[in-house]
Amino acid sequence: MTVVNSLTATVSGAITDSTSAFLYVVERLQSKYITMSQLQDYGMGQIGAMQALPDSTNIGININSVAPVVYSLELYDFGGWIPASSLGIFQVPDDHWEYVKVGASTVYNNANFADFYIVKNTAHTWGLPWKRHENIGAGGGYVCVIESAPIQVVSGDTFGLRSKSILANTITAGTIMTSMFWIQPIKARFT
Amino acid sequence: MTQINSLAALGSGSIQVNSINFYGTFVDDDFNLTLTTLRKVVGNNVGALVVRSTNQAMVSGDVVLWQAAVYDTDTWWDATSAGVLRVPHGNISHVRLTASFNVRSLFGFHQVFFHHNGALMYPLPIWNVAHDHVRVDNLVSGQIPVSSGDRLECVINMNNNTDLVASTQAWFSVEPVRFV
Repeated sequence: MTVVNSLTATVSGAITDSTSAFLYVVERLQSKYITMSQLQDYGMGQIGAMQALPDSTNIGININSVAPVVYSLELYDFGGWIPASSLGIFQVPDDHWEYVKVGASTVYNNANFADFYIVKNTAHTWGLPWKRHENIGAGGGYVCVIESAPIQVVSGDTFGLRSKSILANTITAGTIMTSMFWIQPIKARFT
Repeated sequence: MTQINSLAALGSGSIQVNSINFYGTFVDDDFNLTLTTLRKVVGNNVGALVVRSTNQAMVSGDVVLWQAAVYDTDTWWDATSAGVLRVPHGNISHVRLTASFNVRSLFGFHQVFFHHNGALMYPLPIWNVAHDHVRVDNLVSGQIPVSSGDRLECVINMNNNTDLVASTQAWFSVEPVRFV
């Protein structure tokens, strides 16, 4: 029996299914099938990470100055988006991902004027959501849900939440998960 | 390294191949999904993000006219039709829209919503505001069935003229989410 330990087949021009049986098999093995792992590598079914407020841990909002919103419960993190001991931000773990989406929801305990928005590398930029609550009456809870466009990223980019109010205000944890912050990778960097 | 171009080079009999390196140009067929196809269909179609960098004076029913694209992966936006994101080809069956607005109105109400081929169409959202101040908000659509050439726009209705205020809060995005 002939044993070939290294075999390289080189052809010129296009290789099609009508090429020799050997090449056909190699083509099928190397190109024609995609594994679930490969699909996930290229962004299918990736869910990223999410953090939230645990029960009964309301967060006060700064009056007349912008401050980070720091959620304190990690719900899940597939792929290392939450840096160690750094709840409150997401950080792109490597250069595998090229586009992500980020979003948040929260409930204010007071609907007086407040801003709630997402920043990339500490600055708001095009594609990131911003919600401004007007003074529609104090005393009631006010739900805010925001979502970004696809945002182009490189390794190390960070995303955070910011808020500001003109009167005393609180992000409310509640007894169900109403306040959360999430990131989802949506496109791998195709090379 | 042994390089052969066909099995005939090895003669007859059984062959055990422990390692294969293969070089050449593969041709896709329609039989199976390939990485090449995946890159072609998904990887290059992130969508578009268009923005305004100066204020736009608005009267009721105006389409927001965008001034630049932060990215546009497949020619969704044409500056000569500044208000329109147009589905570039028939490989895309569903899209999602996202937008951000900072609308200044001295008094009265305004509505901000998406148009699909010039008309409000389910499941597009309407943002309805009845306030007297600058107001910033974020719109997100559901998955919208589309065909090649479909037009997607942002429209503002109001009972008093107003400005769309230019800032990082003024943007419109399309994201293809299902392909055919």
